[in-house]
Amino acid sequence: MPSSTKTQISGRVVELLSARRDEILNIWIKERLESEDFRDELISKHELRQQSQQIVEMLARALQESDGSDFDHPSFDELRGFLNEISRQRAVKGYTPSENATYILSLRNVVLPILAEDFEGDTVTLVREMDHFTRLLDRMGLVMVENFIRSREEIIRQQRADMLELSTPVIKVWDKILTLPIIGTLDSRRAQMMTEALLQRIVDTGSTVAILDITGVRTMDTLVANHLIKTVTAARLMGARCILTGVSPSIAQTMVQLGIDLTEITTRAQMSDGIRLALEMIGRKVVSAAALSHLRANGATPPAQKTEQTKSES
Amino acid sequence: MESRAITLESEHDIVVARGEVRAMAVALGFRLIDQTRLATVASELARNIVKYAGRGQVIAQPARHADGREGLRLIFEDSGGGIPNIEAAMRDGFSTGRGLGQGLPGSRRLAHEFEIESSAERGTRVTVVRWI
Repeated sequence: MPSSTKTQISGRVVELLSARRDEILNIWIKERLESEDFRDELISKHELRQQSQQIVEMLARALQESDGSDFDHPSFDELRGFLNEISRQRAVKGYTPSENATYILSLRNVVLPILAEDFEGDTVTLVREMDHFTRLLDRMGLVMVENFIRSREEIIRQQRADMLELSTPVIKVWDKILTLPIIGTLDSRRAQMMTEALLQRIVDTGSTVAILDITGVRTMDTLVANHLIKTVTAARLMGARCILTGVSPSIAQTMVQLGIDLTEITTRAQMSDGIRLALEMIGRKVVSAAALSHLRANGATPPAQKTEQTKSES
Repeated sequence: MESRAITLESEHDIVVARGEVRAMAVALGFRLIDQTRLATVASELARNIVKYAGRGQVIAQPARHADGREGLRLIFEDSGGGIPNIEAAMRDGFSTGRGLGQGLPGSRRLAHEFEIESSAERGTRVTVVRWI
C-alpha cells in the first residue's frame, strides 16, 4: 500500500486523544445513551460503559505505541481483537448490522469537536487531521461489520445443525415394526421428545418391535446410554421390544470402557440385521423368490398347492 | 496447534466442546477409536460441569510425552461447590444425580492420565491426557 493512503495521525492528536480520553469517554457514553438506537434490553449501561472505556483506552494506547500509525500496525491487534469480540456478542444478542457499526462510527461525533476546538484557526491542519481520524474510525467500523456478519453466519450454521439434530422421525417399515434413526446429539430434551414420539407411534400402529438405529450418533456417553435404556424400558412397558442397531466399533469399545451395561438390550450391528430380526419376532421371514418356488415345488407351501401335490404322489 | 478454551454453560456448549475436542484429536492424528474416546471424555466431564457447577470451562491443549509421543490434554475447571467425596465419586455406579454413575470412573478408563482436584472453596479441576 502506498504510504500516501496511510492514516498518519499527528503526534499532537495522539497526545490530545490520550490526555482527554476520560472526557471523550463520558461524552461518547452520554451520546450513546441518548441516541435512538440505544436498546437497554440488549446492553446494560454498566456494560456499555465498560466496553466503551476499553475501546477508548485501547485506541489511545495503540496510537501512542504506533506513533499515530495505520490500523494495520500490530499495536492495534488488541483493539481489533476486542472489536471482534464485542461485535460477536452483539450478533448473538440480536443487534442489527447498522446498530453495530453506528456504535463505533459515533465516536467521530465526539472526537471531531474536540479536534476542532484544539486546532481552531488552523483549518488546513484540522481538515487533514479530521480526515485521518475518520479513516481510522472507518477501518474500525469495517472490522465490526465484518465480524458481525461472520458471527451471524456462524449462528445460522449452528441453528441449521441444531434443527437437523432435533428432528426425530419414527418410521413404520413393516406392519408392527417401527424404526427410529437417531442422528447427532441426544440431549435430555431431545431424548424426551424421541421417547414420546416412539411411544405414541407404538400405540397408533400397534407395533410390537422398534428398531433404534444409532449409526448417526458419533459420541455415546453415559447420559445418552441412560436415555436409551429408559426409552427401551418404556417401550417394553408398552408391549414393544427394542432392537439397537448401528453400534460402530469405536462406540462399542468406548461404551465397554465407560462401563455401560447394555446386555439387557438386543443389539445388531447393522440396521438390515435389525430388520431381519424384527421380522422373525413377528413371525415373518424374507426369502428369495427362487427359494420360495423351490419350496412350493417340494410341496412345503402354500397349502392349496400342497393338496395337489399330495394327490399326484398318491 | 493452539490451545482452545471453551466456556461451558449450557447443553449446547457440551456439543461445541465435544466437536472441538474431536476436531483437535483428528488434527493431531489420533485414530478413530481414540477420537471417540476423547470426545466421550469431553462430553462426560463437560456435562458434569454444566450439571453440577453450572458453569466452567474446558481447555484443550496439545501435549508432548517425555518419550516424544504427542497427545491431547483436556483441563476441565469450574468454581462450583466441589465434589464432597471424590473417592466415592470415582467408584463405578456412584451418582448424586440420577445418572449411571459411570461418568468419572469411565472417563478415567478412557484416558491415559487422569487427575482430579476438588474443594468446596476452589471448585473442581479435572485434567486428562491421552497419548497417540
